[in-house]
Parts: sequence; structure tokens; C-alpha cells
Amino acid sequence: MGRYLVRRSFSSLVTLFGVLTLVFFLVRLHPGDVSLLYDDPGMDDAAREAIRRAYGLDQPLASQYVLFLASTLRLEFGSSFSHHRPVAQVIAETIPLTALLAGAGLFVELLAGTGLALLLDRRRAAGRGTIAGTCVLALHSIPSFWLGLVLVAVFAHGLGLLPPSGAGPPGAAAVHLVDRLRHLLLPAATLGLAGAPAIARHLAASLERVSSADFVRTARAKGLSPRAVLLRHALKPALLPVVTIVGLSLPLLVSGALVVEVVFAWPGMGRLAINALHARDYPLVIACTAVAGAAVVAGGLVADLVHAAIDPRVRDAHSSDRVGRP
Amino acid sequence: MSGRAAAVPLAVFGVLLAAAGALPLAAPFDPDAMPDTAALRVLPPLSTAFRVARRDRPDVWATAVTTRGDVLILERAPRPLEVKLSDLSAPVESRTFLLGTDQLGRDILSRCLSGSRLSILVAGAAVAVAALVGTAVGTLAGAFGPRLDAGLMRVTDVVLSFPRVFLVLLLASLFSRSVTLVVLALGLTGWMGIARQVRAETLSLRAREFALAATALGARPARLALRHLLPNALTPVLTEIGLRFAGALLAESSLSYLGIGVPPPQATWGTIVADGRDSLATAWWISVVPGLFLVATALAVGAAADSLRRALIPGARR
Repeated sequence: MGRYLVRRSFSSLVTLFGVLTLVFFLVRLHPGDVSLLYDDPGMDDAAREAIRRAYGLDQPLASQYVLFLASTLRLEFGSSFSHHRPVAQVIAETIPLTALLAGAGLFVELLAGTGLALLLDRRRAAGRGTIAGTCVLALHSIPSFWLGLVLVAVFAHGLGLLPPSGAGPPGAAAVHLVDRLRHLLLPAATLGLAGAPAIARHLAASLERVSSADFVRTARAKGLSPRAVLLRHALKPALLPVVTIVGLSLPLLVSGALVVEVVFAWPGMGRLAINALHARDYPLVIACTAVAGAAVVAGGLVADLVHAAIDPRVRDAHSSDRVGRP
Repeated sequence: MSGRAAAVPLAVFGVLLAAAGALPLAAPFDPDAMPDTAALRVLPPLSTAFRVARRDRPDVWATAVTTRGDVLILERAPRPLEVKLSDLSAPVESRTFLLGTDQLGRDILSRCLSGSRLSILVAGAAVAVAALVGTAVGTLAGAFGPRLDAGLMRVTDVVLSFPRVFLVLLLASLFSRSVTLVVLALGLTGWMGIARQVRAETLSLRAREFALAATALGARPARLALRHLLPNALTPVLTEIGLRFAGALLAESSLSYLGIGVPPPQATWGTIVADGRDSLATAWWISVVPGLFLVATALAVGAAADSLRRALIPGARR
């Protein structure tokens, strides 16, 4: 485990380095003078000079790059024009809410994905896989922002059951928690249902592989009902590769969270990034992009380590770090 | 069997392209015209309205028309209007707004039909860019040795591990909004899957006898890659394109919804959905209807791509 952990962490570090490099050079694609991006119209010349020096914008590209990496790793992203506070502080306030939404979305995604996969597997066993497959494809073809709007129209405006937007008042009192959960339900469902088809497909394929294994045949030969074979014997080993799929689908989850946050006015990092874009608050946009990329790399690392912890074959068998990637 | 199975998806793509060209022509109303915003705003689907043409004055619309003597009483927001029969320049004409109207009194069906062209074209162009870049990167990685391969695949991993929307967001903040930017942003964030498939295919082809024979006959790596490996590695690209098209269609609509897609006044299905989000409580159809166009198109293309894949690649599973 130790060697796998070191190797996998190192590979993540390289990817993180790549992500930050990509952000740096994308920003340098800006057709005008890059230092203009950091110019707050309200600043005086002395402050402007100070910022230019802090980012090394008066220096050659190479030293700008080194300064960018160094300041990013120290979480110094500069000052937000629209919030008039350090960018790191502004982002830090939104991260718990985005993490809550992404976590709840992931939960729904796994739940719905497993349910769909079991359905797919039963239909396949009965030789009628097409209809269930089409349902999964249909769910795959629904854009999450539109699904969110439809859910709001039905459950918030139509039936009046749930709040249409926002995250509820801050605070951890019991009343607030219930309120927060009520606000969380629709966004989490939207995010989860958008990711469920991918999980369902992979899990169904994994179930199909497992169902021809010897231990499943033994379970069947013992006279267990198909249901017991599926739920008690086949499902657990089939879920193992799904951990990797979750890690690989994290970029989708984070992208989806941004869209869902905008649809439901959920005050997380994605909504912050979009508002920063419309306010031309470049330091905030750049920092949000870097943080989102880094979060995905970290999440992928966690997923792979979890996979290795519960499945020893992973850490022993593979020498490459691109384990299990399709 | 396989020929017939491949014919269906190809027919779907053909129909789609024809639709992109022809659908805007089928619009019953001018998609951008606002003939009478006050009277026609947020009419629900299947509403009928009446156009009253007056002499020397602009046309007015009404949701109901009654006569009292020689005066027409037009029921319309904000208050009824009376028009003398003698002032009419043409008979009153009744028109049905099949899918309702938006806040500016524009016909939703016409807007969706005319939005189909840009939606489909942007998605198609984005997929073309993605296929081009992906094929190039995949061939370079697969055919020109392990060092280039390792480097390019590392880059692919980095871009792949980036949440796509954030990447597009960064690009959108740096450049002014345009259709070209949307196409490039979607294409340059969507090539990685294709690159991996082409690379895998190229690597396996490179070990086959015909490739060895070409090398033995003195073909240089570039010639081997372009003349022998690339043409044979294109099958997965062909099937990927269909799947990616549906993805690009949905991604473009998400960007348009977020306000970083195609700039107004041009409209795609995503922009029309976004137009309706503030009126969702009172006029759900403005947002819901264009979404149905999106879902139907993505589903048709996705299903077609799926069956094309099963027809072209033996042993492919769902």
C-alpha cells in the first residue's frame, strides 16, 4: 500500500502542476496586456504598481510563471475587485456549500445509478435490455440545467413542496438544518440524476462480468433466488470498479455543480465564479478555475486510494498510474 | 444485417442536417419579431390571438374580439381597445401560438425552429474541432514513439481532469463572446476521449503485419502514420463523433444558459431556456419547450450513435 500511495500521490502532484500550468498559459492567451487583468479600476497608481510587482507582471514570462505557481501554492490569489477582500477568503466561504452540494449529489448519483444498473441487469437477464437501456440513454440526454428548471417548475412552483432556490439561512441550529436540507433536495437530485446514467452503465457492465464468475455460479447452484444472488453475492464485487469511475467522473460532477448552483442560486463556488466572470473580476475567475482543477485532482487521488484500500489487486497488480482508465 | 444497422443512424444524421437547414423556414412567425408585446406576452401553449389591421396605424393583436354595433372590442392587456369597423384595413385574422409566447410576445415554436440551426451547427463544428485535434494528438502519440506518447498522454490527462465548464469560463472571461469562441472552447475541451481511442487503435495497428511490412519496405514514420495507421484507426472516431455530438449540443446549451455561450441576438435552444428562467413560476413553457427540442435531438443522435457503434465494432456492448 505504501508504495502505491507514494506513486499515486506523485502522479497527482504532476497532474496538479499541469493543471496550474494550463491555467497560467490560458490566461496569457489574453489578447491584450495581461497586467490589465489585475487592474482594479478603483485603484490608485501606487496600489497598481504594488500589484504588478507582487505578480511579477513587469518581469519576463518565466519568472511570472514561477511567481504564479508559488503564490497559488501559498493560496495567495490576490484581491477580488468585486468583493474588495482577499480572493482566498471569498472562495473559502463558498467551499463548504459547494462540498455539501457535491457530496449530496454524489450520494444521489450512486443511489440512482445503482438502482438503474440493477434494473438494467434484470432486463438483460430477461433478454429485454433495450427498453431499460433507452431509459438510461434518455436520462443521459437531459441537460442538467433544464432538468433543474423542470424540477423547480413542478416541485416548487407547481406543488409548492420545496423552495425554488437559495440555500436557506446560515447557521447550524436544528431548525436551520431542516431548512437547509429542504433547500438541498432539488439541487442534489438534479446533480445526481445528471451523473447517474454513467454510473449505471459502468455498474451494469461490471455486473455482467461478475455474473459469469465461479462464485456466482456456486451461489446459483446452491439454489439461491436470482435476487439473493444479485444483491448478496454479485453486487458487492461489481461495485469495486465503480469507485474508480466516481473518481474519473469528478470533473463532470464539479462542472455540473457549477451549472446547478446557477440554476438554484446556491451560493457556492460555481455561482461565485460565474458572478466574477460577469463582474470582470479576473483574479477571482482565475483562482476559482485553479481551485476547481486542484479539487478534482485531489478527489481523483482519494478515489484511487479508496479503491486500492478495499481492493488489494489494484495496488499489487498495476505498475502504471493510469489504472482502470478506459 | 450490419449494413442495415448502419443505415439507420446515418439516416438520422442526414435528417438532422436537413432539419438544421429547413426547420427555420418552417417557422410560422418571424422568430425575432415582436408584433404586439403588450397583448401577446406570455400566452400559454395553444393560445389563439387575433390580428387586427388598422388603416394608417400599426397592427394590434387581441386575445378575444367582440363586436358592439360598428365597434370592435379587443380584449388585450393592459386594457381593452375599441376599434371602429370602418377603420379596419383587412379582415381580422386568427393565429394559433402552438407552443405559446415569451415575455416579449414572440412565438416560442418559431424561435425553437430557428434556434435549431445555430444549435446544431455549433455542436457540429465543435465536434469537428474535437475530432481533428483528438485524431492528431492520438496519431502523434500512438505512432511516434514512447516519449512523445508519454508527454502527450500526460497533457491529455491534465485537460481531462479539468472541469470543462471552468475551463470554458476562463476562456470566456479572456475573449469577447462570439460563436467562434464557443466552437473553439467546446472543441478544445472535448478532444481527449477521441485522442485516447485513436492512440489505442494506432498502437495496436502498429504491431500488425501490414504496418511491419510497410516499415520493412522503407516507409518513414510519418508516411506509416498517415498512409497506413490513420485510415485504419478512424472507425472509433466515426462512432465517437455521434456520441460527442449529443454531448456538445448539451454543453453548448449549458453555456448559453450560463450566459457565456452564443452572444445575443443570435439564439440557440439554451438561450431560449435561459430567457424563460425568471418567468418559470408563471410561464413554465418558455423554458420547458426549447428543452424538449434539445432532449429529443440529443436522444435521437445518441441512440443513432449507439447503434452505429454496435454495427461497426463487433463485440461492442452498451
